[in-house]
Amino acid sequence: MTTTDLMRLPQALARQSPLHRQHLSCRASLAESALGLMPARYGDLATDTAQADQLGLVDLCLTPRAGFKGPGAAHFLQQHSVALPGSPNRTQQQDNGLLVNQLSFDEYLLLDTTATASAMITTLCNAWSLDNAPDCYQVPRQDSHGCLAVTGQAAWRMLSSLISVDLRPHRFTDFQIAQTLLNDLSVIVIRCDQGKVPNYYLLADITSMEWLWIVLLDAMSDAGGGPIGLTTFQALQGSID
Amino acid sequence: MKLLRCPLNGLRNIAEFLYGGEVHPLTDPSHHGARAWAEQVFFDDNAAGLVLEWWCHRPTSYWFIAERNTVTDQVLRTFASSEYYVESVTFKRVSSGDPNA
Repeated sequence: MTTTDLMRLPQALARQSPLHRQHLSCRASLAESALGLMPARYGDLATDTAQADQLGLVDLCLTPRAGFKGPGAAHFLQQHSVALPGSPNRTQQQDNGLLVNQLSFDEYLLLDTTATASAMITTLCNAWSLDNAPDCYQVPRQDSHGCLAVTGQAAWRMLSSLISVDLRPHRFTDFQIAQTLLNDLSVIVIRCDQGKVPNYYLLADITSMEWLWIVLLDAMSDAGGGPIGLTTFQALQGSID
Repeated sequence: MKLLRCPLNGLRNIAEFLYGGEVHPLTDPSHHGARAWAEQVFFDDNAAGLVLEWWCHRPTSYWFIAERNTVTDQVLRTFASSEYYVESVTFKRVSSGDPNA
């Protein structure tokens, strides 16, 4: 290690996902973006896209997210022109791609997996204070939770082997949420299809992400599943029309 | 598989829930000695028949009340605690006395 390396400040280094070691061991092509150092692809685009359609796993730990809860949370979000789902365990997608997930009667999780609505999350977090948002409290979802996505036609069947919730596509429909246990780990499962490709976001304690990544890869190996890069996932999102 | 219906999340595997003891009506601690208050908080009646119990859905930390028949182990209904505790109660602060009174 050179003196120059030692003198680099931590702020000058790109943010890394908690799954960085796993990406390196899977020989992912890493790319630096505004979010940090993310796996762009695992194979070529065609292979990754075929994988995503069959059964793919994406690391979205660095994507922006935030949370608000309390009796005044709905009023605070509506003041800032956020459309709400209207009932617990439902998701409302905004025009800019932001997902507003209602987790209980007065708790909301904002998820920006497209990285196109990060300005809106920043605006809301900056606008919030105890004085101007009575009975509304911020929840540090960016630091407390990690986020993965499981895509593909075989996704619900693979997840059903780990989760005791009825995930059959006609029962667990688009924009529905299940808060449940996966091998005794609390997880939030959000169905949000990407075009014609079924897609499930999984949020769990950020310290358990490496374990969850390994468990999911193991469970999906029987069905030919594997990791896919962020570029491929964003291409799926671009196909939504 | 044994199932329980959470008022927030619907029908789920019993493994997702935590038992939280019997539901007791709120009583003013200033009207009791410390021993009587400890019994009120920690002791259960353990009645045979219909009882109200606290249950928690672990993934969401959502506490609710279940009405269960302890003889047949049949859950008759589950509901939000706000249906049982309909008004906010504030008790007067009392000075600490003899803990064994």
